[in-house]
Amino acid sequence: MDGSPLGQALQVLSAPQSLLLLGIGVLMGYVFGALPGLSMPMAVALALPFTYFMSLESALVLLTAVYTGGLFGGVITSILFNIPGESFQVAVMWDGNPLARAGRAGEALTGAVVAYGVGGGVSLLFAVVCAPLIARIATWFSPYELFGLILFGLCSAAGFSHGSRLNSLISLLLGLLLATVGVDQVYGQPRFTFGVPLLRDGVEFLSVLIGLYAIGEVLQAVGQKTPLMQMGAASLGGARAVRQALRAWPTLARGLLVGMGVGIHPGSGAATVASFLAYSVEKQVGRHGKELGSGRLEGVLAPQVAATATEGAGLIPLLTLGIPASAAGAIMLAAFMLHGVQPGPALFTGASAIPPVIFGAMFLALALTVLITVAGLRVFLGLLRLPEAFLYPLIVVFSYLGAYGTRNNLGDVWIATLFGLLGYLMARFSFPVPPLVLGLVLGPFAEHYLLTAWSLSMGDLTPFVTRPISLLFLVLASATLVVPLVGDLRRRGVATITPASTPGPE
Amino acid sequence: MSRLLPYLVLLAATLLLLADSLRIRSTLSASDLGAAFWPRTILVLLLLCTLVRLIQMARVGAVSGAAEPANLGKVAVALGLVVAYVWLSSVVGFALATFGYLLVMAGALGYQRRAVSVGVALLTTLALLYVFVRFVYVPLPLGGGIWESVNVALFRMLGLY
Repeated sequence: MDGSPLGQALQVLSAPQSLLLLGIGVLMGYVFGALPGLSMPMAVALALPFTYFMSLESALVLLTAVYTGGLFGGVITSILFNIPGESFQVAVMWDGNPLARAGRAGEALTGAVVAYGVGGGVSLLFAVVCAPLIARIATWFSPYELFGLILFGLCSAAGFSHGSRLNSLISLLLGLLLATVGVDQVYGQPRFTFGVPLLRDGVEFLSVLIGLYAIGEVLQAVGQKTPLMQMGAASLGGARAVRQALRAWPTLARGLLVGMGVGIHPGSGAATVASFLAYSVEKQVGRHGKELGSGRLEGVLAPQVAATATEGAGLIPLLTLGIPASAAGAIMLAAFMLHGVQPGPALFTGASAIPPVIFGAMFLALALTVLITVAGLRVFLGLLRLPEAFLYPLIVVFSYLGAYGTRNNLGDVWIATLFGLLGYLMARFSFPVPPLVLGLVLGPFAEHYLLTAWSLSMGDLTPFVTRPISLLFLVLASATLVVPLVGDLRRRGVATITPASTPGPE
Repeated sequence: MSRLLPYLVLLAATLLLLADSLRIRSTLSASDLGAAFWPRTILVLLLLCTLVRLIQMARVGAVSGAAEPANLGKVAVALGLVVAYVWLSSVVGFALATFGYLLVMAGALGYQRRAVSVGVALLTTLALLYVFVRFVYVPLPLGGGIWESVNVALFRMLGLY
């Protein structure tokens, strides 16, 4: 081992203490990510005080491990029980849960962990090798391009319908409207708060999701007497599932590109935006795009690989600019500050071992998370053998904890309950839920970029069409939404209202 | 008519929200879209979509292919139990409400072995309390009045405080 940054990093990472911290961190993140009511940022925040007494390198190993393990934990409950651990796991749930219901939970979980490993590993490698190039690409995107990109993601909502496209659009607009509730962040004006203090902070995103998916699904299952899971056929996954996931390499590649593209832009929510966009892209251009939502492995791979890829790419703005890409990234930044480290380009030019320690710890943590998932697959699938009489109430209790844990407020549990009823009604009346979720997630970004673009151009809209990347996204958005919608209206037919018994995103 | 109901409700809600959106101060100018522009645009689009859908559906009259009849009684009971659970957790605290909910819901879903139900409800509640209160310090609801004292005493007895 020499005295170079890489040599120092290897020395740190191979020390028994670091390996122990790595194991503890990954397990902690994994458990917090998996249990509704607990979250990965919470795990990173709880681990932070323990780092006061550690060296900077050990602190980074522990926090990186918690962060990396926490990225995957929630996928288990998302796929098995339709309860998202984090918002970026919602899109994984859309095909993961139907797969689990069809007795293919093992394949779904194996596929997700393969995508997680590929997304994290490749994006990290890319970050290590091409950091300057990535930073340059990030400058191509101004608010015009970013608005176009988000608009393209929103317009893909039309593809979620097997019935009326207008119902999808209504659902999307409802999501966009919900996202405007609360005190506006730019102007400080309350919008649709009706004097309710809880609504001033907006509708808590996770409470809405938990209500729509977990509680709504329980109500549907109880009402229709269709089992939530088909247990007998639950397969373990294994090498065949790994091969199956790797065979879908075009899906993985597309998701990677989307994830890295979104991840290099500083700001919060990158993983969530990337997962939804990757799902939308897969739905538009994937070979099995039309079948997404009914339980396709590609629907698990695309959002998962994109969400994880943002984390590797997100290290670049975090380390070079000191701008975090997520809530957990913000806590990592706090750890840097606590230990007297100022992130910036100097980290890469000097003799600092910090970047290689973080990259190395993340690689090891990724590998450990994959190992834990593969080893624990049998245990996770065993959860599905619980009798319905215990499974349904347990889902409701975990939904309670998940909603309550977001702000330690019972009001959020009431919101989740209300959206549980709404989720049930939407399914009964053939309104697809995913467009609402898309609107809720991407709405604030769309408004922000539109406001910024408008201010930049002083009300001149021509940059949207004169800038090639922005124009490309607008054309794609139109092709995705307007063309099929006009086609539908021309046919003048009313799409048959199908019974809403189909699970998943419908 | 029942098929039109959700759209009629949506139409009424959209109109009400549009009226409410007039309270948001608009600062629309060449350099500023203001806080009202985005929600109003969404509401206008929502109004248009709902109207077009209503017209589409009214044109074909009674729509065939009604949704699969669900056991609405069971759904009502399940929803009622969830509502009762959330409300009771604010009155008697999370611990007792969760124990009661798990027990009653298992019975409502037809599980007959009472001893197993009690065991599962008890163990689940205890496990959740230990994880959330003892280890991650989540301030779960303790209830009001006398129930708060009961829960504090219970938590002390369990070594949670």
